[in-house]
Amino acid sequence: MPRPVIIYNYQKPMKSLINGRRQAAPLQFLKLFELYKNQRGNAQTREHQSMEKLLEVKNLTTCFVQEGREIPLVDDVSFFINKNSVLGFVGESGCGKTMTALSLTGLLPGKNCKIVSGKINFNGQTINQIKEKDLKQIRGKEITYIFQEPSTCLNPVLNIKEQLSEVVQLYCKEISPEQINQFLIKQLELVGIRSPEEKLLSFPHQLSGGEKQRVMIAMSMIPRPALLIADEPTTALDVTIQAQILKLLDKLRQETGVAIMLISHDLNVIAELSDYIAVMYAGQIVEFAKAEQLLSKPLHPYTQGLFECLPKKEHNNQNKLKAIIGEVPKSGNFPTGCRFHPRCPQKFDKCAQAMPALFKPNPDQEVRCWLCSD
Amino acid sequence: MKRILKNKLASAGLLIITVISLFAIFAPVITAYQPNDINITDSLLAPSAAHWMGTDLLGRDLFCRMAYGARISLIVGLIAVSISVLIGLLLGSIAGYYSGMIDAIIMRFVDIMLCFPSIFLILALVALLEPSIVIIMAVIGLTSWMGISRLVRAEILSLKERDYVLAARACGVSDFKIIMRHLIPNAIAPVIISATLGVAAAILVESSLSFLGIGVQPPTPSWGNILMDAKASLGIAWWMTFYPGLAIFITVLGYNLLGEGLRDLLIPRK
Repeated sequence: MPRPVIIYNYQKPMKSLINGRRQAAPLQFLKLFELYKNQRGNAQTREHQSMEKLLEVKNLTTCFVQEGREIPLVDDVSFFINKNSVLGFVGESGCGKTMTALSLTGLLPGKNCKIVSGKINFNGQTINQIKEKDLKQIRGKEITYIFQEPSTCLNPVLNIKEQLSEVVQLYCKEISPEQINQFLIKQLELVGIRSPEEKLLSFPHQLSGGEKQRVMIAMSMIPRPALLIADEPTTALDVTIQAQILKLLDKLRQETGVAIMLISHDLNVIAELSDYIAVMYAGQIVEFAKAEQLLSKPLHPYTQGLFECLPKKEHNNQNKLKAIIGEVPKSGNFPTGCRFHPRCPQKFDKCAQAMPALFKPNPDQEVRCWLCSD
Repeated sequence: MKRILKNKLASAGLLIITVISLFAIFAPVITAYQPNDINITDSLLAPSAAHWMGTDLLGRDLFCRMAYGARISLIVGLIAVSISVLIGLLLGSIAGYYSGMIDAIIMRFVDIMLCFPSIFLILALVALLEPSIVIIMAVIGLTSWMGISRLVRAEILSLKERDYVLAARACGVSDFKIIMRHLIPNAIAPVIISATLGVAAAILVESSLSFLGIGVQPPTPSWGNILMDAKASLGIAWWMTFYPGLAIFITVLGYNLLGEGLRDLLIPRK
């Protein structure tokens, strides 16, 4: 179905009363969500599958330890992903989304980054403290990862068949060397690559960006994982390919039952695919809600600001784009109290004094804001 | 291959090496004599139609000895370099991949090995063990791996951070496979150049050792050997010093040219 033209219908004026709540209505995202909802499997399958928790993260804190100082990159993050559903992670660059994903799989860079506290529960098993040997059973097999830049993620001196065979030899040992070719052709067809026999023998520099990302997705799906972490899979691709990759991810979710953790800074991408959305700012989750809830009624001022920042059609004649004033604080230099309060249009005195916890104004939504504390 | 032929240095070097190698491979075919055919009556004959390069003190045809000597020199050069490349790749990749304490230990070991003057080390080793071709090859190999290990370590330190290594780790590939399949093939370019130049150096070392009498032992011919024999008849028989010297010079030149040409081809410079 063709992408709908985004029409932003209305915008209520901002209320700056102390306890006022801004009723932003990012209708375009809700429309997008509704329009694509039918493509994402019928309501029946989506409802009953999403109750079982596949991954549950509680109070995860990852720090960068330097000269005795601990700089938190991921601070007290809690979320969950249900089986066969999609969790969208939104946030600006540097807010800790990738660090969270890397902490889940034990791929933190360098020896100075480590998980300091928290609990990660995958399929009933706690995986943050287990040995590397046991983690290797899960990473790559049950939890797989696709990266942002497909062009650098493939070894330039090996052809596609050799790279995929590596994963096949690890996880599908029952396939003999003669059958590998057929098996790989089927995997490439599953991700929508045309003429897979030729592509198997070609090198990464001979494929286009979209094809390379599809190869990466195929590589991650070979062991039929339970969770696929997609770290900004479409950021390096152009918009038409972006749509195809997202459709592919959804198709894989329907056909193989995999759950997806989709990380992006593009709200369109998140809105199109997610069941639950988590918004991160400065290493913390500031809002975590079901997609419909967040898209129709975002409660945190940062989320509201994000929706506001997008250019709107009827503001054609006005020259200034709306922006959230200020900039993201660097790790280690966080303001006291709420980390967003210097940039928040609705702050009041409690915001600078104490860090808000995650409040639950309704059962499907958690917000880290003093405005929602009552 | 086309790119190699387009590069003048590399193709000149390749040509020289090919000629010398053919000379060595077809040694029994192109010579009428045997390298150890002693014939005192023909001693120290000047180059002529019967003996293209003349004869030595014992009447052995010099051309034939040179051809068989080429075999020895080339084999020693190639195998010694292979040994040093293997050791260098092994230690360099381990040091580069598992940086930290292991890296520090290996690099200090490399520093210690570099402190030894290699000629004296080789002399001492050969004096302890009897000089034979195998010992020479092993000894030259064991004293020239340090440069390669440093090159490999430097390449791997930078390649380790590439995304495809992270992707392979995310897929659960073991460390050994990552080093063998992903890191070393991408790090091999400076190693090839260093190995080519190393063959030249190895040939020189072998010739020096044979000249000193502790390399390849007579009667097996080697270019250095022939030079040693030539010492006795220095003023009388110019051909005995000229031809081996020329051969060593040309072979070393050929490998150096090939190495320089490969350096232009393999190290991209923008």
